[in-house]
Amino acid sequence: MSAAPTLRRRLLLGLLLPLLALLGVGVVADYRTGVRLAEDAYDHALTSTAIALAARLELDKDHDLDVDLPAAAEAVLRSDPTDRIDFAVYDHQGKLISGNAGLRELAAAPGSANPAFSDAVRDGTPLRVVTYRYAGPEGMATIIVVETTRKRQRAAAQVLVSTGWPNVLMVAATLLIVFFGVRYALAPLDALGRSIDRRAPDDLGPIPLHGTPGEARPLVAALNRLMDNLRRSTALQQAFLSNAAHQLRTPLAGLQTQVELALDAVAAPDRPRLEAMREATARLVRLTHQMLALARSAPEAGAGQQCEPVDLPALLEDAACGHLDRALARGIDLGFEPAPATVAGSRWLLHEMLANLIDNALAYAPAGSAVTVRCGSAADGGAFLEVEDAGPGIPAAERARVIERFYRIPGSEPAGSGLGLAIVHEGACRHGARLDLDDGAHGRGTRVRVRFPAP
Amino acid sequence: MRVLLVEDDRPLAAGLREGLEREALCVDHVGDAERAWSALLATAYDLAIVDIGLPGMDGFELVRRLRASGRHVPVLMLTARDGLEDRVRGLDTGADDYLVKPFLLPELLARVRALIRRSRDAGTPLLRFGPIVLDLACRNAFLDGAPFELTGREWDVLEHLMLAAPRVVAKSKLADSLSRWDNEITTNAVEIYVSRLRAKLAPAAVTIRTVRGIGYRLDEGASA
Repeated sequence: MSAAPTLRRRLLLGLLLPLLALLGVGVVADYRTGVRLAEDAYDHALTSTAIALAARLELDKDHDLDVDLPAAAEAVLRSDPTDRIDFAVYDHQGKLISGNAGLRELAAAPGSANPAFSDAVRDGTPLRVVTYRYAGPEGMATIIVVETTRKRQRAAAQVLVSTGWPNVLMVAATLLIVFFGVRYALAPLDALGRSIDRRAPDDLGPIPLHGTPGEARPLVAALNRLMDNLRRSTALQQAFLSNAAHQLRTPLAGLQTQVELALDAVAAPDRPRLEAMREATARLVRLTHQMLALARSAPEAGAGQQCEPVDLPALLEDAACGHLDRALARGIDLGFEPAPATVAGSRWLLHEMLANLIDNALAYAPAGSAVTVRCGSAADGGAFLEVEDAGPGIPAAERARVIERFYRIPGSEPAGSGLGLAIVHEGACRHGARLDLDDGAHGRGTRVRVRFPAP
Repeated sequence: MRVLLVEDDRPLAAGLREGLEREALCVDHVGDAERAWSALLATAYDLAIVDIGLPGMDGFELVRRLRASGRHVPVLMLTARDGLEDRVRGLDTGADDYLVKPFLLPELLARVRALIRRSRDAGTPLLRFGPIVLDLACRNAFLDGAPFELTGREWDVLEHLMLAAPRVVAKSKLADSLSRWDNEITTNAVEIYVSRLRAKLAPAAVTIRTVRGIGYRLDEGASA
């Protein structure tokens, strides 16, 4: 399952990408405007040079057009701190009057704007060319002035820097504003999430709509409806189980009591029949109890959601009272090794888990062997419950299956219902605990350990 | 000894009545809480066995009324619900013990005996367990009817075990209770008192059973 992009990322992307594109367009537009303004200014200066040359046109004594350009004046024309300037003046027949003859091919085509500007490259050097067609009382002339583009390039670089920096700052400011703005805007959602997180696991009450941002209200209202349904179905389930327990257990108690009384009074030939009835009743009682426990420990029944600190040594003490008689009847040495440990969870469910573990151990351990029940804290701080027996053990291949409901190892004695470990597994799940099945000490028997997460 | 049994399931009630009568207890049976309330007002019972799930007024309400009226008759609650919440609620309401259906008859009888043993309203200062009798007023102990000597601490340990039976008493709790009179009681000391008590009780049909890692339980019958 791929995670859907978070709202925060969507907002950031949705805002940042268009904003950055806009900024980019802005930078380009600013740069081009700046460069054009500089170009215009320099073109204007270049035109001035051409016009100054035109002002020097005169008719010589042969009535030919000539340029009166003393060396000093030419030096002034060509004087530029950064660029080289060159020029050529032709008369209407195209005869060079003055300047550099090599510039002829750079002239703009006749009929274009006057003055006409163009770019050219000569000997690898970029040039700016102005072609000025002069028509005066002295006659017509074409004046070409060219200039290297060094100062234009420098101006472009300066424009780039001077428009770039503010825009970079603007981008940075936009990034910050969008980031913090999105965070500010989403803060109520985060707060809502935290407040739902902080609720107790069994708190199915409605989330207050008050203080919830309008956009999140439909979501919260839907959540509240869901929790309401959950609460109602949990309550129904609990009521059903409570009734089922009552309806099943009371007649069983009557049956069990009557069978026991009958056993005390019955004549010898009928005893085996009654013993069998007592045995069957005991199994029925156990199965009923386990099925109800399994149903109650299911997540949908809502049990195991209560969370209270449960003292494990006290749980062991209770178990000692509850299982001692059965252990004595089976000739098993039931011992305990309690060490201080506490688990946050459901007291009822933990009690059921331990009872089923001990029941299983007592059912499978051979007479005369020992069953040891332990609790304590592991090295990582997590509590554990453990029951070890010297029974036949669980083959490694069967370990994953024995936690399934009603599963019994093929060929094993039918001592149990196959629900005990399922209840323990269910209970472990409710507590976020791990269920480990291992060999007992010296590779004999079974050691079942429930490892709770460290608090 | 007179016992009031409040249980609406007829076969179960009949079985319980028979079982209790075999213990030489006088049993009055009613099927609902209203009649139970009248009976409790009219008669001084030594024990009431009350089912929680009764028609009409439930067992909790009956016990609450009983305690509110200042009557101290011991109450053993029966329930068909397995939640420990019921147990806590039952004990909070004022019940003295609690048993989940279905139960084995011997278990119920052991609880009944324990409740009667613990009851201070029984009129006599005698604490009985099988062949042991402790006269709490004169601090005289009897085993099979014959007086026997107990030191102060042996008496305390035995009284604790007798009051708790058939429950297991944690060794650490025994040490804690004894330490009220003497600050330096360790679990090792408790072990010594228990072994002395065992020696003194050896001739009788009563056993102090060790529950490995937890403590002791007083059982009827000779040690195996």
